[in-house]
Amino acid sequence: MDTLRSRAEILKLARLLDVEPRQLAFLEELPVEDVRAFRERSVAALFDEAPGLLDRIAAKTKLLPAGIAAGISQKALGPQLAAALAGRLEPGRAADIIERLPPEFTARCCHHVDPRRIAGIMGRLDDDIVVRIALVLADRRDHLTMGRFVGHLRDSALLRILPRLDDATLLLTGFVIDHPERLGHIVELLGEERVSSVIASAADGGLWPEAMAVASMSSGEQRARIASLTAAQPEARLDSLVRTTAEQNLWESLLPIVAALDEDELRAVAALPALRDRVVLDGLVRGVVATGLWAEFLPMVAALPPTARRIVAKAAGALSDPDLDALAVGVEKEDLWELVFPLVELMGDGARRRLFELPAFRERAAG
Amino acid sequence: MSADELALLRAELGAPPPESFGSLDDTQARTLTLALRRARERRASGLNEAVEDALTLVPALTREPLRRMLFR
Repeated sequence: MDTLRSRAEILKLARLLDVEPRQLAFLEELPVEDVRAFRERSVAALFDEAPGLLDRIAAKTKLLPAGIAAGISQKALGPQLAAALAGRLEPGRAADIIERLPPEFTARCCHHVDPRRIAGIMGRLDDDIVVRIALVLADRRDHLTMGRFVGHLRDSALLRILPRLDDATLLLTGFVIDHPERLGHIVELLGEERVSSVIASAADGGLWPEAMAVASMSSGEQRARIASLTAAQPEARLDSLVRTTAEQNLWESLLPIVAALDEDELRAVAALPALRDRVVLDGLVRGVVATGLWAEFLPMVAALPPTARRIVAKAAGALSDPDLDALAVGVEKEDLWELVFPLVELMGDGARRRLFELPAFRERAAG
Repeated sequence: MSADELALLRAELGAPPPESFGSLDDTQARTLTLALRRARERRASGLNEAVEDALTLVPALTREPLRRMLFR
């Protein structure tokens, strides 16, 4: 999950600083929470400048009727200055002026608004205005700005906006949402039929990483629902999910979703052609070693067909001693020995010997 | 990251960067410092241009008094 969250954070920071995301790709190596903290400090550095100038203009604006202030904002100030001013006005006053502006102009301002002021303003805007602005942003394919605002929308506005956005827009916006704790609720508002359609679009439109990020950020119940609806997709689509995961090494995102499946669904996934591919399975084992997601991985291995299980056993047997030890420690921690022993039986003699000599195995045998 | 680069980044950010940013090399740190600096300069010049554009919409004779009243 961190890889995808890092990608989203880098997109947001790159937009804030107006640079190409690839220039900041090195930030993928840092903890995603730190990149987010850096972005928040950058927001303060950028938006807290020139407060004197903006406060002076904002003070004069107070003397004008909202309609005239709106006219001046649009005709004279332009989107950037108008947005900067909106951030200095009392939120109710800013909302009064925004309601008198054309949605096309407001949508152009949205990108320039101080993110810290969004909640106060959005809470005071009429749904009609919010819906119109959201649709303009969607037309402009400004998903990053939508992601900043969507977490602040009331259900009454969301219920009018969501049906009018295409599946790709939902995925691309969800991927960069600034308040991921709201995603589960938004998924609930979408309803099963729409979520299935969005999942199909993720497969057909090359948006599996975005879909996985949305599923991962959703709450447990909604994640399980997304997982089930995904497992119900045709085999070719599911196969493309596994192959995309393997190509981009996103096992840390996929495995927790797979872990939410029931037994029948898990068997359907385990029977996919991609999960008989040696390269895919080797990558999967390495991914699990790197992330320690043994509790998510081993139940799936148990459901794999025998040939695939043998490939996994061979890949696990080829791990270095420290990685094998990490396997044993992870298994001990989660008490997953029952699931591991059938896999150990499929390993070669050499690998088994190395495994039995590991401290974690010896302690287990002694205990 | 060297102490010099860290000081530059910190100055541009107006706050210390998160601790893990210390693991970036000097080139990476410089990329962030410059990106932040350019973003601040762009934002400042964008606001100044907007102010000047706004003033062109009022009669020439009232421009200077208005500029003094609002923007200085």
